[in-house]
Amino acid sequence: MLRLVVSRLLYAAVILLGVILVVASLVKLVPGDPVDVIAAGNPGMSVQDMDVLREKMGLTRSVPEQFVAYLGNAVQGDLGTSIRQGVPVTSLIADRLPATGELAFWTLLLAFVIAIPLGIVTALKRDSWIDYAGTFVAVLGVSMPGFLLAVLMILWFSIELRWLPASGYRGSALASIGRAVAERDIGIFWNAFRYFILPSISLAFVLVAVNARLIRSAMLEVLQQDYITFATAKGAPRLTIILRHALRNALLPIVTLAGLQMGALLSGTVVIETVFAWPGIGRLAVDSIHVRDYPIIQAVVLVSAALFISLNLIVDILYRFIDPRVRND
Amino acid sequence: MSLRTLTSEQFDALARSYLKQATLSRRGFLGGAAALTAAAMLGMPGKALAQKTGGTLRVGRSEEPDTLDPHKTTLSVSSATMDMIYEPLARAGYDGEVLPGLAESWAFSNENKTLTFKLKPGVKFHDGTPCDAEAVAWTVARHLAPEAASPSAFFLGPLERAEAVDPLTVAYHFKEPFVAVWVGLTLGYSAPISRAAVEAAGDQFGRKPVGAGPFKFVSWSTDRGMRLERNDDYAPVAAPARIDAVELSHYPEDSTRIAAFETGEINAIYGGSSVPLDSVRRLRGNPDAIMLERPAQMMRALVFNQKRPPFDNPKVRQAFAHAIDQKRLIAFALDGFAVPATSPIASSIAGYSAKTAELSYGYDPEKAKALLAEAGVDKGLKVKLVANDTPVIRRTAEVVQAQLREIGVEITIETLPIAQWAAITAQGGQDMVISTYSYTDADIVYPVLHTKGALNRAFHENAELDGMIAEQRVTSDPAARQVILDKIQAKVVTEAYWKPLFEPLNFAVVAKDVVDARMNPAGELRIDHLGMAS
Repeated sequence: MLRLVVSRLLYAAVILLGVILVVASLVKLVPGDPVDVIAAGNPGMSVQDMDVLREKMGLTRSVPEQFVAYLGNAVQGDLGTSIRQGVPVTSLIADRLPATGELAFWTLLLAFVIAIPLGIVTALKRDSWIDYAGTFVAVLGVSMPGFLLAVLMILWFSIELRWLPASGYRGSALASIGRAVAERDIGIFWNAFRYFILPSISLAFVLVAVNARLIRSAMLEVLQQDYITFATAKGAPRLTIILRHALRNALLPIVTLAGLQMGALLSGTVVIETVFAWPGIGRLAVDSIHVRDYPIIQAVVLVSAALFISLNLIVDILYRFIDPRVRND
Repeated sequence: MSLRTLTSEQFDALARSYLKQATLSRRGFLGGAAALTAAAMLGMPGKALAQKTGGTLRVGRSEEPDTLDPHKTTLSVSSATMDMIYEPLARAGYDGEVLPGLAESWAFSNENKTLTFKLKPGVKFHDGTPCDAEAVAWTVARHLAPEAASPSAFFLGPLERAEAVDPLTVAYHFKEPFVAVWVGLTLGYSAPISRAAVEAAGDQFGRKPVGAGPFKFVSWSTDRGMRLERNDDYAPVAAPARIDAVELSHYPEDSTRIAAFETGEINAIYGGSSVPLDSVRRLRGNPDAIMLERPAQMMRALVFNQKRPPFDNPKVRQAFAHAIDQKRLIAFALDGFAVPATSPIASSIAGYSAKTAELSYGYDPEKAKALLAEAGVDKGLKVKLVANDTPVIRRTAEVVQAQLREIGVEITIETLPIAQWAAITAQGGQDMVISTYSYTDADIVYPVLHTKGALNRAFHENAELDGMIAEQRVTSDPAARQVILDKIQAKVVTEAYWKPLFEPLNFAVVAKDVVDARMNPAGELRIDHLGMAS
C-alpha cells in the first residue's frame, strides 16, 4: 500500500514537470502577449510604450530562462503573480476552486442518485417500455448541449416561473448546512443551495445519460454470472440479490468513471460557468488565455493536473478496498 | 511649428480639443434613435442634483474588473469602476469638456512642459487621510516607478515627475509638451490613491481600493460582486451622490444578463458591449425599461495591406470599396444599430471631415468588377481576411465575404482571439484586416495610419501621408489643423487605404425608476449624478 502511494507520487511529480514544460512552451509558441492585448485596446500606446512595458513585465526573457525561474518558485509553492491583476496566482485559484469544487460535488451526487436506480431498473426490465424510455433519456442527454438546456431552464424556471435564480453563486451550500442546523433554519441552506440547482442539472444531465447506460450494461453482465444464479437458487430475497450481489459488483467500473468525471468537472466547465456567471476555475482559465496572463494559465493547468492525478490515486486506493482481487495482485 | 512655442492659452485649447465632442450633427442618422438620445440627454440633472433620493443601483456588466489598482490595469471595465472610487484632477463632461475634479484650476507654463494644478481644499480620502498635493505627487511617483511596470503609465505621456509645491499646489513636469494630457488625467487611472491604504494592503490594494471619489469601496467577492457606498464627505469636491449605493455584478453570458434585468435582479446594464445588440429591440419595447443610446467614438474598417499584391494597386482597393454595401452590412451584422462610416476618423470625433461622404466609393458592383478587370485580377482572386473573434466582427467578416463573392473574389476568413490578432496582423502576413479602434481625438490617425503607428495595418510607404499626420499633431489652430485633417481623410478615402465600414452605437438600459441617467462619450453612466424615484 505504502509502496503504491510512494511510487504513484513519484510518477505524479514527473507528470507535473512535463505538464509545466508543455504549457510553458505552448503559451509562448502562440503569437500574442499581454502587451499586444493592452495595445490593441489602447491606441494611445506607442510602439516605444509597448517595448518599455514588455521589458518591465519581464516578457523579453527567453523561454528556458523563464521556465527555470518558474520551476524554482513553483517548488516552493509560489506559482507567480498575475500579470494583469498583480496578485499572487495562488490566491486567485483559492478564490475560485471552492465554487467549482462544490458544483462538481452536487453535480456528481445528482448524476448518481438518478443514474443508479435508472440503470438498475432498465437492466431488470430489459426490452420493456421502461428500458426504451431510459434509452430515450440517454440519447437525449448525450445529444442535447448543456448550454441549451441551461438557457431553456433559465427561461422557464427563472424568468417565467421565477422559482430559481438565473445566475450567480452565493457561497458554499455545504458550509451553510452547519449554520442551518444550529439555527434550525433551512432557509440558510436554501439561500445558498438554490444557486446550485440549475447549473448542477445542466451539467448532470449528460452524466445521468452516460452513467445510467453504463450501470445498465454492467448490471446485465453481472446478472448473468453463476453466483447470481446460485444466490437465486439458494432462495435469497430478490432485493438482496440485486443490491448486494449484483449492484456491488456492477459498481466497480463506476468508481473509475466517477473519478474521471470528478476530474473533468474540477478542471472547470467553462460553458456552464459562463452561462450561470459562476465564479469558477474554468472561466478564470479562459479569461486569462484571452489576455495572455501566463502565470494564471500555467497555474490553472498545473492545479487541474494535480487534482486529476490525486483523484486517480484515490480511485486506485479505493479499488483495493472494494475489490479483493486487486488487493491480491 | 513646435508645441513649445505656443502660448499657454493656445496649448490649453489644443489639449482640451482632445476630448471635445463633435455634436450629433451628422446626416440625421437613425432618426428615432437620435431623438431618443437627445431626449434622454436632456433629462437635466442640474436642479435635481442636490437632493438625495437614496436607493441602490444594481448594475450588470459583461466583464469583471481585473483589479482596481489604477496602476495595474488597462481594462475599460476597471477604468469605469475606478472613476466612481477615485477622484481624478479633472473630469470629462458629457460632451468631452474638461471640468474641474480634485483640482479647481490649472495653468500651463515653462514652454507648456509644466502643468500646475490648484487643488480644492479639505478633500479627504475615504480612510480619512488628507488628499492633498503630497498625495498626488506620491501617487504619480508610484505610477512611474520602473519596478511598478505599470501598463497604464502611458496615460501620463512623457511625465517626468509631479512636485508638491505647497499643500494645495502640485506641478506636473513633462519632458515635452503633451497634447493628449486630458485623455489620461480625466480618468481614474491617474487619480490620487491613499498612501496609508496602499501601505496597509500591499499587493492586495487592487481588491481594497481607497480613493477620494463619490463612492467608497465596501466589498468585492467572487460570489457577490462589488458593493460601493456613497461618500458622504465628498462635498469639498462636488455634490455627493444621490443614491446610497452601487452594486456591480458580472454576467458574462448575454442571455443571463438580460434575464437578470427582466427579473429585477439588476436595474441597470451599461458599459462596453453589456447591452447585446440582439436584445435592443426587445428592451425598447419593455415598458419598465429606459434605453439610452449614443454614437460611440469607434470605428470598424476594412484595411488593405499594400505590401501584398494586388493591394499595392489602388484600382483593386477601389474595387473592393465599391463592392461593400454598408447599409446591408449594418442590417445583417448589427441588426441595423450602427452608423455607416465614411472616413478613418469616426464622425463623432471632432476633426471628422464631412467631405468624405461625397468622396467615398459607394456600392456599385458593376464598377467594382470593371476595376478588377482593368487591374487584370478579375479571374479567381483569392484573398485572406483576418478578423478578431468577437461576435459582431465575425459576422461583419462573413457579410464582407458574401458581398465580395458577388464581384467574383473569394475570401478566406481567419478569426483570432484579440492577442493573436494583434500579434499576427502586425507582421503583415494577411491581405486585409477588420481594424477596430475606440478613441477620443482625430490624432487617432497617428496610431492607425502613420508608418510608425502601433496599430497601422495598411503598411503603406507614403511619406506625404506620414508628414501630414505628424503635422496635425503640432498644429494648435483648430481651423489650420482641420485643413490638414481634411487632406489626410480625403487621401485615405480616395486612394482607398481603408474601406470604413461602420461606427457602432453605445447602449445602456436602466429600470424606469432610475432618473436622470445620462451617457458619456465612453458609453458609461455617471452614477453620482443619477437618482432613484421612490
